Amino acid sequence: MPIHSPNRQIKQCGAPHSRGRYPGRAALVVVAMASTTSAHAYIDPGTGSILLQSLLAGVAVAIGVLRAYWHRIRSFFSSAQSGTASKAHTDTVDEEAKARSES
Amino acid sequence: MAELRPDSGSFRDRGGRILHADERVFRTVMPAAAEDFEFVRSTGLIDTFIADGKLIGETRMDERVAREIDADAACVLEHPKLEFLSWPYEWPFSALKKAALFHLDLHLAALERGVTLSDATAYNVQFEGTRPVFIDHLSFRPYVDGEFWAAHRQFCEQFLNPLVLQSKVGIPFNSWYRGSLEGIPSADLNAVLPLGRKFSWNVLTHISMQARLQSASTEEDARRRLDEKKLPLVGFREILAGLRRWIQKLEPAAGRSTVWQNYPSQHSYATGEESHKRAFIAEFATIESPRLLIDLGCNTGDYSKVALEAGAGRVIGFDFDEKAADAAFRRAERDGLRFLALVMDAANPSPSMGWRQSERAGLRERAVADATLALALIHHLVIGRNLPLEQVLDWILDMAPTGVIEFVPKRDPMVQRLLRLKPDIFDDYSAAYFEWLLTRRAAIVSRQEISAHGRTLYWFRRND
Repeated sequence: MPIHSPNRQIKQCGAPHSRGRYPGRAALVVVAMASTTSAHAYIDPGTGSILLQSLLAGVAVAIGVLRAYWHRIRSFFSSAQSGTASKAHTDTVDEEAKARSES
Repeated sequence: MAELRPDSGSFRDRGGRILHADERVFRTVMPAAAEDFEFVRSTGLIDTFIADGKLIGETRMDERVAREIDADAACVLEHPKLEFLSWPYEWPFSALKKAALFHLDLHLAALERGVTLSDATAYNVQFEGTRPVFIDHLSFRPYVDGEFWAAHRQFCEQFLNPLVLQSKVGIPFNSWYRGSLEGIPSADLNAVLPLGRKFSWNVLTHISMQARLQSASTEEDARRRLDEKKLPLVGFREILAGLRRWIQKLEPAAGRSTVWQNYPSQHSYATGEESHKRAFIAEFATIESPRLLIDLGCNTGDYSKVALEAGAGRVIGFDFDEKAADAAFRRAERDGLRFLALVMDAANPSPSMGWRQSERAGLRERAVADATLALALIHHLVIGRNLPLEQVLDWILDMAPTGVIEFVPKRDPMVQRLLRLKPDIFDDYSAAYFEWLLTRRAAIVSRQEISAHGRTLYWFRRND
């Protein structure tokens, strides 16, 4: 038994879907902006959750920034260290070669 | 097409709904949701999730069939029918934890492709054995840069808070969840959390602070922030990943171990008795080869495993002891069994609840199986809980056309223990009366005494 209602205004899904319909990122954002407000309107996010997320986002971004700096600092030191290490290694190899040639 | 019946639990999302026709399941996609639906498919996310077994499969109906199903729909999908639906308040701790991590992983993977989840209801996760499967294809929609996680509160109430309640307060979440249906509100959890548990960044923010902000803020504040769309994607991801790290570490509070959790290693069975029982169940499962077997009082799943190895397709087990069900779930996970252990008191099975008392079907509607096991169960119900033997038998017989019931006579030490603190008012509790009741509705295929005290297994087939 089909279900009918009097106010029919049919918008079909793009039948057997084509990937080319949303080509670039720009289109992606435009489509997304145009159509999302109603789709999740049935859920009540809660005022507490929204305010908390503003706060958590701030903290997350701050941690992200710190982490990026930390990585930069660490990689600065580790590259400096590995530079010294490889120099030391070269020195040893050179000395060994020298010793061998002398013997 | 057979008569279409709207699913009684599918009404909140105006973007589409579920309809049943006999054994077939259809989902309509309404015009308002069509554009988002197509966008999400263009990302390839749905195909990937289906291929990985994370999302239930879909077949798009051709236009003619779609019109027959719902003339107003933009398109119609058909999904494979799940054999058994379980609800989060029936899940043991490990199952809810697994579902929560699964939900977060799904969301993080979706964000990679510019897609987000519009809700975070635990009812959208179902289990195939111990493997979680997401069932709501319309929950996926395009992600908008800077938007808030609208379902954060729902995630907390339906996944996080019940886990925290059990982990930090030591109370199994099942009864509370079943009573409130949409999960445990943060304000309520905050009120029962001991002060010492609040000195943790995660508890402090996601529970205490959320509860406080909820009561202290106005809708205008939240509306303004929602409109500003100022949650950067990196922040959104970090909230999800942070919750994931936290939930991964949550374990049920140790508490005292329950009798049933340790039952298999401690109980009074002589080894011979156990091997007789195993052989009997194996033969039963081989010959009846049920597609779906319900194990009532499954404990840690010893005999479910025997049945599965002997030919049962899948097993849904129930136990009133949360810790036993949790141990059974973890064992099924470890051994890769198609076995889902759930928490339920046989004397108070899940009722039909929610909107119009039909949103979440009760056990009676869902427990239609090919076979049942009721091993070492009925003496607990008749003597332990004062339920009439006749009604207990009818309840079991209504569930499946064949099965095995164990009768434990009064002289058994276990029954003696049940009678230690109460007067013996159970004059009609005898093997003879049990057999008489059973044969009113069923034929006894095989009967075997397995212990010196007279424990007896009955393999029955219902007369219908």
